[in-house]
Amino acid sequence: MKEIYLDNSASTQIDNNVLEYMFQIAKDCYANPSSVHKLGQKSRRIMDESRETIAMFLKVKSRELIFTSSGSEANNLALRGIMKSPKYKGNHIISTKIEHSSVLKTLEDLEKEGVEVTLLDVDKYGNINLEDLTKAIKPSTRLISIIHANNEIGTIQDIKSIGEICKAKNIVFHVDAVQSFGKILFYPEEYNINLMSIAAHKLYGPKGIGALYISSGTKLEKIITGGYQERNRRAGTENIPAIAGFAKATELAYSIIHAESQREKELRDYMETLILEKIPSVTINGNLNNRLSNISSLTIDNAMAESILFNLDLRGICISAGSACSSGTLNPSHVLLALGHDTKMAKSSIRVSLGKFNTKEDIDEFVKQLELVVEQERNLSDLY
Amino acid sequence: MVEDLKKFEHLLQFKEENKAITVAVGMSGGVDSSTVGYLLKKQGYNVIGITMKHWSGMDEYATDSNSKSCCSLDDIHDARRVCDDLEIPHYVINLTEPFKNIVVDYFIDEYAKGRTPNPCMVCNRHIKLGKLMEAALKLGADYVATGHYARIKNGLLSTGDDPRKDQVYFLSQMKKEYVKYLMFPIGELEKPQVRELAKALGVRVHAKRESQEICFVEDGKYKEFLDTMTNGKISKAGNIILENGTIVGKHEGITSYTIGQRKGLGVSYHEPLYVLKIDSEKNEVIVGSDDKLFRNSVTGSDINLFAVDSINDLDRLQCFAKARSRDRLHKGYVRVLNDKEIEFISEDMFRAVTPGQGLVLYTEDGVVIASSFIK
Repeated sequence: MKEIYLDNSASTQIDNNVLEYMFQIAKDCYANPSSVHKLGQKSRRIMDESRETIAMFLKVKSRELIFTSSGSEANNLALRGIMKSPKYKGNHIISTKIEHSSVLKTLEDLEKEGVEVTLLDVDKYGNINLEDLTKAIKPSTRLISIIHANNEIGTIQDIKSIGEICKAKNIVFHVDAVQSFGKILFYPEEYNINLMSIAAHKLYGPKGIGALYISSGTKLEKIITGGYQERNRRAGTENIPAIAGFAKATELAYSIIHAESQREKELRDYMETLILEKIPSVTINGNLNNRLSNISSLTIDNAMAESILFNLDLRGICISAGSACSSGTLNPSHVLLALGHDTKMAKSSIRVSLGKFNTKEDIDEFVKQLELVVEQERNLSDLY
Repeated sequence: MVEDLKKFEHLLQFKEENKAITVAVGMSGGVDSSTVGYLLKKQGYNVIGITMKHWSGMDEYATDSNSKSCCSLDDIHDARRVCDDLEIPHYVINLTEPFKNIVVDYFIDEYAKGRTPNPCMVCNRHIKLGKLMEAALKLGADYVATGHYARIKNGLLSTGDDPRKDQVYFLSQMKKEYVKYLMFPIGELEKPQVRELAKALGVRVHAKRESQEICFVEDGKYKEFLDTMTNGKISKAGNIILENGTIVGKHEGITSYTIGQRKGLGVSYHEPLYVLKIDSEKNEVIVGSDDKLFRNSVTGSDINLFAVDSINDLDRLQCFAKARSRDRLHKGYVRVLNDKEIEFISEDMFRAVTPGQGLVLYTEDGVVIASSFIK
């Protein structure tokens, strides 16, 4: 059975070019980049070149990029690193209710250490209100952390305006750009972003590698201590093949960024139109005027997302819902709950996320199967 | 290995026609259900593994599968790995909420009333052979198989061969109309045989320890659990009295006691004393001598029928009954008291009949006729 993979926001298939390049690097550049000998220098060169590549696409300096193991680690470093930093005053952080769990859980943890946290509400489209943000700012506000494009519903926040507010009030601005990097073209410096998290596996790169952009002048403390790697910001022998893969993936993503995002938008819109035509009682979540081009969050009345997911999986189709918990079962999405969904609606919502390998045929087959599965699900819901 | 499997040959027969049948195996990560997965795969069925995520108490992510309770995160992981070994799909069904509302709350309520609950009977009816089974059927399963030591005879539940393990007692509250979807592939075996079979088949959890305690209370510490869940409300100190009202001691909370209990009374008396009754309203534990624990009749309510269609069909029925899972079969007959209650009158005596436990009626061969809860 051919697998139809429509869960690209969870992770993506590694592009063959990236894979081949990584294999070569893994084979040839095995020395520790911190070693003084020629082979160490060879590894270091690859790392430097990779860093420069990614920095170039973001129009930042390569010394401003710190590699981490993941987007989650980058978020942890940003939040914890700034709160530990003696350079800044105040112990208040403003963020939102729809952040990724690596931000929310870290904030929860920081609260136990005495940090004050304000989580802004979002409207039913998933956008925060800039007035609410401004009102929440106080003299003790040290950091504002906002997710650029939400991973569940795709809604894009107005980070340009938020950046302006932060600059005016001299507040450190962190953006979780894990979902938007490689999909939306933007430059952190233009938005007054001080810290920005990204991860390779969302753009056809390998898992296990992320990065935190730290603008010059922004001072944070390290959270993983040990050696002096990453300009003494993050200890640990660098993952050379993955770093190389990250750079290659970034290059490839940027080469098609406009065309691909347009193509995916059309395909996604086509899919949604088809679904709304064929399946009754379905609503789309998110800001339909301003969301990522590849995400479709759908609430399907009188049907359990869990059951739909399993049934589609048995038919070779991969989508997701809520957030996967480590037991492998689903928890209702905190993002949907923040939009005002009740638990029942949240448990009836699925997320379909397209990628560059998806075709119209994939979508047609998906919608056909979804229709069958939903009908069966709705009919059986009465029986039991 | 091949030699070891010879005696189990009949359970490993491949049948072409089985390919068209989908069986969902309820996987707990334990040796019984895992072995069932292997058997059904060998028999040629289209197998899917399903695991239930139940409410695991205060710690959402309790992982330790070394504790004696079941279905922790580690257990779900074991179930998943067994399914990986079998190359079958594995789905985890989230039943946290219904489990909490139906099983856990019932558990707490019963203790508050001075009764001794039987959560497994309630779980099997509403959750395992209720919602979990329904989820399996929605996945397209024709049958649901479990690792229970039980059998199906003429569409009815029946005990397996291992007399030490009467699991149908706990299954007996399940809805009759769901029995037709059930399969018990290891029902005719005994536990030691299943471990032997599992080892020979290469089941990775063949030596895993059995879960024995209540699955949602860590390490069997149910008193602490009840105190935490009720903020200590139902565990208030009170008197331990004799039937004539004489106070012989103090207790720290009625939840620590069950009928027939002798240990932990902290009372010195000229003869051994046993818990005869628990009065939740007066918060008293009534004790007395051993002979007072015996009676020949038991009343049951919340009747679940299997072998008969209406409760009236039970009137004057000669059959056998158990008032505990480990009870022997007591011979006797049934009297229908009203449309919701029955009384079983035994030829011999029941010891320590406990309100809240199951009163289950069987035929002499162990086929379940009906099930009820002791009043």
